[in-house]
Amino acid sequence: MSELLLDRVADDVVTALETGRPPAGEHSRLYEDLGFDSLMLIELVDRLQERRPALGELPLPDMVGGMADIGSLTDLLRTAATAQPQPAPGMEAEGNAA
Amino acid sequence: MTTAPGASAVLPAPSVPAEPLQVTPQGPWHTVRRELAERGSVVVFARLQDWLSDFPSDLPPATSTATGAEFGAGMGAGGDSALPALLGRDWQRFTQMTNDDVRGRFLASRLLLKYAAAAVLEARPADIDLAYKPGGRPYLRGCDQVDISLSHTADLLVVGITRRGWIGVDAELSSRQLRGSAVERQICTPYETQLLARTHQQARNAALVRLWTLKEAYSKAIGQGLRFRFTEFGFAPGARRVQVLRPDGTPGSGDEWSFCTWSVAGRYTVSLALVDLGFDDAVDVAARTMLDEAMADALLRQPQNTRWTAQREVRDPL
Repeated sequence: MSELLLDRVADDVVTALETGRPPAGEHSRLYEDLGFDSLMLIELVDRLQERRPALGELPLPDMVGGMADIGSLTDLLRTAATAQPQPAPGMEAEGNAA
Repeated sequence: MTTAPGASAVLPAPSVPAEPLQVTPQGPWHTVRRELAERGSVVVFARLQDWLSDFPSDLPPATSTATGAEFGAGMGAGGDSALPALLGRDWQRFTQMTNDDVRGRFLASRLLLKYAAAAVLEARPADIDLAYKPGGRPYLRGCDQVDISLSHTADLLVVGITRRGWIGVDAELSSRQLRGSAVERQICTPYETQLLARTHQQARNAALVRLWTLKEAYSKAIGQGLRFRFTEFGFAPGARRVQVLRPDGTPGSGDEWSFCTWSVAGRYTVSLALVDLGFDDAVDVAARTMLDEAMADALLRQPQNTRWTAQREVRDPL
């Protein structure tokens, strides 16, 4: 059950990042509405890093204050993405091929 | 629900509490009070259902737009539910929770915490002012000499109380699968990873669950929670003496810290972190003793007209 939930939330956030649109369940709160616990937050961040490597390292301590709901998490990641140094074209191509 | 045999405890230092005590709304609160008086700290645990059974099972689900007043009015005849008074500043947050499991654990854990605090402070549960620091750490407003910590998972609730300094507790299902997960990669120091690699496969998940609960307990005790990087401090899985270690395995804390891990009810791992800050002089932590007169009068006013408080006082005079 929690695996399905983790996958769904990770998919919704990644889709929102890719499309620039608000995520599905934007106002769903991770704890109060979806029942996330601390271990699930760690798993979620790991899934996001895995599915969207361009986000770079996502340390949970830096993120936990901005993970109240799916919308705020998406906003946080959008900000993180713009703050990441842009890779050189060759690096990006290599990254896509790997 | 019983605590596992003492052999499951991991070398409790003399200053840490005895094994966790199981409590229901009926007590035994005198034992909790005595434990705190004698040892300076106490850990209690409870079964979720024991703390929800006095409330209607058909509590209407809250909506994100419901206010506390609306919810309270819908709960009981005439809107005279005892819950708003009992939950205090947590009431509004409770009413806005939409997940039934989360709501149940939130409610039961706050009730347990308030009853336990009321027992040691010799006050009424509804008069306990549970507040939160900016990072979310709970504390008893107006009673700085007593520190508290709270954890809940599945159908287990755990509360730690100390008058020695700071306390952190954490509970997790012993069967929770952490081995090979993101958690294993993201919480372990290099030293822990090295030691875990030498651990037998079957024991590795148990070691990880213990590590996780120790780290959570420590991080809660210092008021950091998940804002603390779990890869920057650690413990030695399987070590006889539990102490905080730096990432390379060298000692990172002194003798003022005590740690303990218990197996509770045969299916939960519960860890405690406790730092002795020398607050032990105040053996009498009753609210009237600790507070100035005006504050005590304000907090310990005449019983509120709530069915919950009245029922509890009849059944369990503190």
